[in-house]
Amino acid sequence: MNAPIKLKNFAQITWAIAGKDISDALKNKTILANLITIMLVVIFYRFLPVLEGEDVLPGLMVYDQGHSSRTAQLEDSLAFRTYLATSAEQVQAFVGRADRARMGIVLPPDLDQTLAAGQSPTVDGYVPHWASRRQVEKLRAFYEVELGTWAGQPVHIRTEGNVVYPRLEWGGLGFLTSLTFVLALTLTGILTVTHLMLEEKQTQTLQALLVSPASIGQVVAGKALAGAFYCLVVAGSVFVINGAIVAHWGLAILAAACGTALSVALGLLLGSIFEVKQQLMLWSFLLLNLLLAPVFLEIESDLLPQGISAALRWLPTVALARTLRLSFGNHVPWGTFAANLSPVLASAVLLYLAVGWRIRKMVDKT
Amino acid sequence: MKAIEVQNLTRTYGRTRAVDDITFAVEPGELFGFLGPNGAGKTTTIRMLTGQLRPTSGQAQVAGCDVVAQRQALKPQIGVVFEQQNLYERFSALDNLCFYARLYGVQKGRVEKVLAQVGLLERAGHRVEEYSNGMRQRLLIARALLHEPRVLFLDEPTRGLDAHVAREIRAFIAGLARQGATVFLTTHYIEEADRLCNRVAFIDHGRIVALDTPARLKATHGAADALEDVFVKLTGRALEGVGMYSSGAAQVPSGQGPWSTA
Repeated sequence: MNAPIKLKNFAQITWAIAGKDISDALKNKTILANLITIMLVVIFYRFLPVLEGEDVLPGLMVYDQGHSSRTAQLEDSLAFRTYLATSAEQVQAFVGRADRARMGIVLPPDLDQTLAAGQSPTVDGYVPHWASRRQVEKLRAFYEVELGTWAGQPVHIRTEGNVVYPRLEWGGLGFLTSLTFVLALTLTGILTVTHLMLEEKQTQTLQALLVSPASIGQVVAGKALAGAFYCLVVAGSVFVINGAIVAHWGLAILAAACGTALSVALGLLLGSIFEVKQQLMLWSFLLLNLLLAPVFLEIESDLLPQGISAALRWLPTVALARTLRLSFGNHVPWGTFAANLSPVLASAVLLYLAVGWRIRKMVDKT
Repeated sequence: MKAIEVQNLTRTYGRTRAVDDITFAVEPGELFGFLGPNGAGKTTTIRMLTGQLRPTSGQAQVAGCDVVAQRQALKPQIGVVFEQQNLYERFSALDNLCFYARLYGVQKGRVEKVLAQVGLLERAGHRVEEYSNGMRQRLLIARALLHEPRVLFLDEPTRGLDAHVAREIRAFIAGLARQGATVFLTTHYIEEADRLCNRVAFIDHGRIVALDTPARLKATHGAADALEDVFVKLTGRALEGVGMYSSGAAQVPSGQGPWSTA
């Protein structure tokens, strides 16, 4: 058989196996339950801020460049809670770390003079980049009324060009989205992809497959394709629900592709090691904790020793979360992106090598 | 060319010799019985002959393909009915066979033909999980026949089936043999082999202790009525499971079986 025919044959069999597994998802209660649970996790994390409930008063961070004597009076407002900042960066961080749309303002240095001259001042209002136009208008209208009462003059808030993009080290919606993304992909890999392999082993349908023209390589490749399909569906759902935060879709899709490769490799390796579902149930809890706890810890890096914080970034799940968070920013240094993506890719390659080694062992055993 | 040719085939697991230096050949069109108690080495032999397990030493060719060196070329030449009913339970019989048809590159028309052959065409759209044991066994046979293999391996095809279903399966196997199929049948039901097979081999502790036609084995060992007596004489013990069905249930109808094998 020549190479193109061999390749076509390989692809046909691989696709037949993948197609079987993908269509089986609609009938397989375990896979359906896994996928529905993962979707619920995605929805839960998106609406977690809403579930936490509205603050009693909305928060406004104010940086007063001219140290106006009136600023202290803002703290007396009964309509909103005022936080005083010492720099414009602090205002941006206040807005960027939010998990719900909120505003920060920078008062002009000549505020007192403008008001004394009976003129209407214009202040810079900062909003998160993912806030909808409606949310921005609502915030602006609310604070223009409140600040107008405070100033005794109409106040204009300028938001054009004052959007804040989340930074890598900030929490808020950017972190929640990246956490959801990593959590959903890891769960899909460990639970769903592993299940694809395990079920063939437990029902001994793998034996029947291996006496058919399918080779073990084609079986694994078929499972990998089906697993990739599930992972991309899950990653897609994260983007559908949290799409507003993504600033660079190319980078987000690249992160999803690399995350999928990592997750599928993990699932295939576990599926090739485990023989029964009980092993998966026993180990999946531990594995999920080991892989996901560092993602939570890394965002609190201020509390960790510097060495540990730096080491955490080499873990594939942490690196994947950071890679996705980079796609939320307006300026992405390629070096930083590559540095964050490389642990993900390196781990995926190592896992695929381990899968290859396991398969070779399985073939040698026969 | 022999359908199956085995020379000094051995498989060890640690110090245990599961199959110990066996040599035999099966002619094309022959229904060959491989008999032995549980753990005698029947399934290990079938796994080696179907390319699922590498022999520790020795050689075997099936349909002209070396079971180790030409494993991939061997696959389209053989059909295997496993001891376990390893089907996709959530799929219908039709979907199960269509999936394997894609792997073998077989047309859908053949799927329907083979389903009709085993009498499952009317219920082809039902999920396998709704099938009885007998229907599943028939579907396993249909799967093994799907690509028209040159050699059919049946590993304990009637094990655990009730008497009348087992009789149906035997009749079907007999029908296949009449059509000239080469069948390698492992069983520990000695009467089944006696009535179905052209020749039988007794395996015990991994070694072939006798190999001939049932009639000649009985004549040689002075056991006029029962092949079981030959096994007892050769090994000093009875085959486990003998008597699990009545001899009446083991009878193979001389005419056409319950399913069309045409």
